[in-house]
Amino acid sequence: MLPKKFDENEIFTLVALAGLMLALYLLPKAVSWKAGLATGLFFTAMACFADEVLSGMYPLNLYNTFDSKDIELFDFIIYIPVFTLYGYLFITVQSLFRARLRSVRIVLFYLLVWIGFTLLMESISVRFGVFHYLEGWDNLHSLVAYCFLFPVFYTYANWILKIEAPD
Amino acid sequence: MVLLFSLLAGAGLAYLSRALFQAEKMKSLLLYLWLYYWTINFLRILEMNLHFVHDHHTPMFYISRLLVLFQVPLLFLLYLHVFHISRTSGRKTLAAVCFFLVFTGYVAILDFLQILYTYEWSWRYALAFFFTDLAVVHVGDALYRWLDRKKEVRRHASEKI
Repeated sequence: MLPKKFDENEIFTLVALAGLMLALYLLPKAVSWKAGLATGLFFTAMACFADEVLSGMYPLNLYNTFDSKDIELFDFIIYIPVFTLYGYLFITVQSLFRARLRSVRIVLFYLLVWIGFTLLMESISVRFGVFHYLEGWDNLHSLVAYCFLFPVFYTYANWILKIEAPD
Repeated sequence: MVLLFSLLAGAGLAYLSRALFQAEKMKSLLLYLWLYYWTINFLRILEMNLHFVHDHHTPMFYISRLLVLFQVPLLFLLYLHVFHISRTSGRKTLAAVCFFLVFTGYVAILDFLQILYTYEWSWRYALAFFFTDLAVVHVGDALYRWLDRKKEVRRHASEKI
């Protein structure tokens, strides 16, 4: 369960975690903790589901994470604090820009910015050895996956913002 | 049969838990996602790290397994609901014991249908699965209540000021 070697991929994960915590600290508190966590845990659950489908042993093993194909301590760290805070950040930003996200064109632009940023972060994490692409998986495949995922995240976050008030 | 059980059990559990999601939408959603995360990772540890559990690596078993992963959190949410409506500690213990029997039966069916296939079936897998998710659901519930109370106290204090 512990990393074989504490090197750049673990350090990158901790730096990313610190960066997310700082971003959320600096941004105005636009959503309740329930809405933030509900979105964050949805990001985590989707990541777990995607890993189960794309990176398990069957039917596909398109990428591995960290030092081995087994579950490691840092897999838990990237799932719960990192992906959860990324989801928290997503709904916070969405709530801040909610008034401006009126037309389809602006929403598409907004989603493209998120997809681009996430893709950039993934490319950097690949360089640091957090993800190891196998069997021809590359950034283009990730881009296609994000083009499906982010509209789902956007719709889900909108739904959470709607139900947040009466709950 | 393998797929039918997963579909029917999923439909039954979704029907039973729909009132829960209507009554406390956000809490149920948070606990469901929290349980899903731990369940999927617990099974992945059993499969990938310890090589105890695996599926038959055929599409039918694989889809059934994915469906089961969505069902287990619902089962524990229903247990938590029964646990909370039980007023005395004796009834709460009885609820936990009864749920243990229900869960064991559920895992036994999964094993019988070989949806969760093990090289050598042992009840310790069911016990480990049960107590891990039991701890997860109660810790999640306690964390939710604690955070909720903390925010309420803070809100009251700022209202007084």
